[in-house]
Amino acid sequence: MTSSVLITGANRGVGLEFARQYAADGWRVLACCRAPEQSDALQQLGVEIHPLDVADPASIVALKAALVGMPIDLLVNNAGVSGGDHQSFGDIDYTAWEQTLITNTFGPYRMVEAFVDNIAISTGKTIANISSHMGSITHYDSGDEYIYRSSKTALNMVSYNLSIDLKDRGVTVLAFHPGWVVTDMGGPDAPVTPSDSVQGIRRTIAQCGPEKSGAFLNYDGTSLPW
Amino acid sequence: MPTVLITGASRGIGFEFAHQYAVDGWSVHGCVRDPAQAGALRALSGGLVTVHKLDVTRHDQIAEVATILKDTPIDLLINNAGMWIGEDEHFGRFNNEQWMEQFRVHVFGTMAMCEAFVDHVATSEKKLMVNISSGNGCFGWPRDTGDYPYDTSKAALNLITKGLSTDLRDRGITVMCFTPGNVATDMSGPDADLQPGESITGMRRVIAHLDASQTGSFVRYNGEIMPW
Ligand SMILES: NC(=O)c1ccc[n+]([C@@H]2O[C@H](COP(=O)([O-])OP(=O)(O)OC[C@H]3O[C@@H](n4cnc5c(N)ncnc54)[C@H](OP(=O)(O)O)[C@@H]3O)[C@@H](O)[C@H]2O)c1
Ligand SMILES: NC(=O)c1ccc[n+]([C@@H]2O[C@H](COP(=O)([O-])OP(=O)(O)OC[C@H]3O[C@@H](n4cnc5c(N)ncnc54)[C@H](OP(=O)(O)O)[C@@H]3O)[C@@H](O)[C@H]2O)c1
Repeated sequence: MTSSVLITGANRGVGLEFARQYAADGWRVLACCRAPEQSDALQQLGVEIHPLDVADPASIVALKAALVGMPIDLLVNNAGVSGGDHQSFGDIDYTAWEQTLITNTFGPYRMVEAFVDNIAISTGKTIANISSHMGSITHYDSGDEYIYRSSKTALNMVSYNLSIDLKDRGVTVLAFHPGWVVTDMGGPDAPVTPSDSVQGIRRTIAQCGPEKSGAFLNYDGTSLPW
Repeated sequence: MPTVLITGASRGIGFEFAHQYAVDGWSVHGCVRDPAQAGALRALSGGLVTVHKLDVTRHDQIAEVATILKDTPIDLLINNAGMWIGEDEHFGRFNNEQWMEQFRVHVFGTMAMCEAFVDHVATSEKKLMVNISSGNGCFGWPRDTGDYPYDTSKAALNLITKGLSTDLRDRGITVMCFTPGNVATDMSGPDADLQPGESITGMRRVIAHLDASQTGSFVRYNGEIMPW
């Protein structure tokens, strides 16, 4: 049977590359984005496109209703924002901090809450949360970007907790650092192409079973410290 | 004598910190949401106890207290205010607003206090900032189920503690976080492992020996180092 993958933020960057590679591999791709009518690159892939704003719980619930009963082998929680220009000590924008958490942390959690039944009835039963090594407390030795970093640390804790809560349902939950990738967020000087990042993550997902649930992994499959 | 500023000093761990530092003769600034209810705090004897009205989610109130204390060096800032909503923290049981409230208290509140009081601490002798985190903020800490709002906000608190430790190193400030143990307060209930006296005595012992080499650390009340 064809495997299916649901991807958030699939209209550009890492998310678009996930859609491209899984589509090329013959998967059924449910590509989600905020503005389907403007998603030219995605439309060219010929995949199913669904409107979804992960920061809006009502939008998530509407998608859930549209997909009731459909098995989802893999959920890729990819949509994310960088947190804005005011994230340094003494200049913290607390409103931006809230908005960033709603997208980067609460969004992935709400997606799992909404689609856990679809995932549990699938064969793959896997959730990949696209985090960042910037969420690693161990690696934090500079003192900047508090907003983005804390949203990813909190996302890592969401992943870790989900791995415990969904164990009985056979669901594998993985947190990934995609590398520093050439996208709008990563900028043109990043050393990793979206193609290499997503190939690495896909290979790693294919190799990870339930015994790896709760892991925090680099795109090349090596583990990262919390 | 040194000066300590404590958030959430009305009861539990925050109150016990105020009590023990007062007994030791410190000048204690206890922050509470409702000063009308702070009779026990005011009655503490030993050092000088001053009560301030401060809800850590109200950044205007934080600024007000920082202004009142603008000429007062603060040796030790204890970011203790905290909350937990029990079984409603479990998968599928809380909404984004409940989740955000814990970020406002544990993370934004702590950051806003550090931003507002950094000069007070930098001009003091000891220059210490201590954040009361939790074992729940530690990845790998044994748990049967996720307490999502609490666990994620305490992990984020640990992250900002690490960031603050590097940001404020140049100003000579030591920043660290504690897990106080499982303490018998309103939050954990009367059957918890430790009485507040024992937990706070332990943390005060660690604080008394803190130096710059321990900045950015996560420590149990008894001095054991915690992994992130
Ligand atoms: N690039 C890197 O170097 C790097 C490194 C570490 C981690 N990451 C993580 O990797 C993921 C993808 O990043 P990227 O580099 O591909 O970033 P990007 O090029 O900026 O793309 C971000 C994507 O997320 C979508 N998005 C943002 N907010 C959304 C919302 N509320 N609802 C739905 N979609 C939303 C965007 O949609 P719109 O077009 O509608 O804005 C866009 O599709 C993010 O989680 C990011 O934090 C990236
Ligand atoms: N007890 C434990 O076993 C345990 C374990 C690990 C970590 N902790 C942490 O230790 C700290 C103290 O907990 P506790 O056990 O003493 O809890 P507690 O008995 O429930 O007391 C909580 C304190 O925080 C205050 N507070 C709550 N929200 C506040 C806000 N928005 N602004 C200012 N103050 C606020 C409360 O003030 P009001 O009186 O006005 O409500 C009260 O003083 C918390 O950060 C908690 O997470 C406790």
